[in-house]
Amino acid sequence: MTVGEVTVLLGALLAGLGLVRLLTVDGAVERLIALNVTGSGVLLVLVGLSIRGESPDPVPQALALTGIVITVAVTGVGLLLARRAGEDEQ
Amino acid sequence: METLTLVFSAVTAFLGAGFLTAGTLGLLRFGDQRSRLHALAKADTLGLGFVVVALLPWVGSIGGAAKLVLVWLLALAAASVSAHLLVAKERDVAD
Amino acid sequence: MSQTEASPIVWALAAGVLLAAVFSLYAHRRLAGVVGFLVLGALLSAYWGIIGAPDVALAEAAIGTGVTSALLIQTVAVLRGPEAPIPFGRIVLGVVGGASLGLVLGVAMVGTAAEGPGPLLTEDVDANLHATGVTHPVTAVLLNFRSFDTLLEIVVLLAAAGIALGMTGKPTGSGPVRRSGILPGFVQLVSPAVLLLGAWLLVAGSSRPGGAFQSGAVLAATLILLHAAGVRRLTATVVLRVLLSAGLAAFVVVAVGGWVTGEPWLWLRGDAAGGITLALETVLSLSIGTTLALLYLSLTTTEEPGS
Repeated sequence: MTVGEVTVLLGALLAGLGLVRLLTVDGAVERLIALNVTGSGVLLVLVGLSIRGESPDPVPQALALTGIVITVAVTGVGLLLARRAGEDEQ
Repeated sequence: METLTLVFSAVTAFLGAGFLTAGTLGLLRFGDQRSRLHALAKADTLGLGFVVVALLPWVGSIGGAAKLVLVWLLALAAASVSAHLLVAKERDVAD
Repeated sequence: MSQTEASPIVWALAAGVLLAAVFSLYAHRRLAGVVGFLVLGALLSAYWGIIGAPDVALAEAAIGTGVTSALLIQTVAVLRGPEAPIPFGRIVLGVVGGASLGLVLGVAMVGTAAEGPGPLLTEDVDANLHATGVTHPVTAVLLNFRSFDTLLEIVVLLAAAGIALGMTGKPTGSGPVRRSGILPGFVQLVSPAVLLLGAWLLVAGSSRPGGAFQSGAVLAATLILLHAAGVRRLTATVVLRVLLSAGLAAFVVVAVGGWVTGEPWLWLRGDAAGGITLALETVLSLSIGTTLALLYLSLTTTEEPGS
């Protein structure tokens, strides 16, 4: 298997595992971790498809970079909301 | 000359891997927290040092070699500070 | 990278990533899951590096693993909730279900992708690279060819910063700023070097892997370290708010500047393009750094009842 194929396969596996976990768990932290894992899997597929040519295609890599930053913003706000919601219960 | 360097790197890399494994074994098997911290901070850093030494002949420039050594020094400092923090937290000391 | 066969190192790293992912998803305790997530991030950065995507590797290490793990640990340390270990049957079910879904998708994608590389934009990027003033393709794509995506990304970050500002309550912390002690001393010793690394990453982005996002994350890491060690407390001052919005403002100025000179908006070509890109990246890096640090800061505060 070429490097690109391994990456795509790994990404699909990560995305599948993360998605199943995301849909079956209750807590906010667990869900955010699962969301991060799913996101990383999708980005692996994206970049895996970009390294098949002679030299790597930079556009999907730039998109992957954007994806990572957006994911951290979502995670940050999600954790903040979870923290506040948890405090209200106590 | 080339094979000698290769053998040297292989031997030191294996030594490094051995120390890292020993550190992990200590982490898993030691009884109390302080012994585990000994295993982590000392054995792991030594293992990393051996791996760095194994890589040094292949870097090709003095600057690159210096960077590798700096990375190891930073790992040493971080491991020491983390170990200290864990013990201090356990003893509930201010610093 | 082309059609090279995957070496044993690639396979080993891939297996490590997979194992770390399963562990972090199905760990018995939340803190164990977060630490597993940190390990996953470190292995994933190494994987990005070895398959030939160094910019993504840097971003994953600094932002995806570094900042995210700091945010997660800060939450897990405080959040008190039920932590029943997951029954083994459910773990097996989840792993098998997820892996089957992933395998089906993966094999389908690999099977259809085997017919050739498909449309790649490498040549288009390389052909127009000389007009952008930077020599690194990914930076050119981020800040020139696809700058609209980056502009919207900055808007998302600003929105997150706004939410965080709105929810920042009274600061918790261990009292007055401490200046002696091993952790504050170490942080004071290391912070200038880390800041220098961030500045270097910023400038290096024009010709090699690096750029505004990685450098912004390093800046955020420095601010988080300084705050967590008690060396210098972050507060939501006016300076912070200015820095947060400066990135978007600068980007809009650059975008409108293209339109004002008669070209389409966000147009950035010519002799001054390299300098404008670097200046824009500097302001962006400050905004990104302060946004990420603010996300951390707002997690360390508590909302006093009635305030």
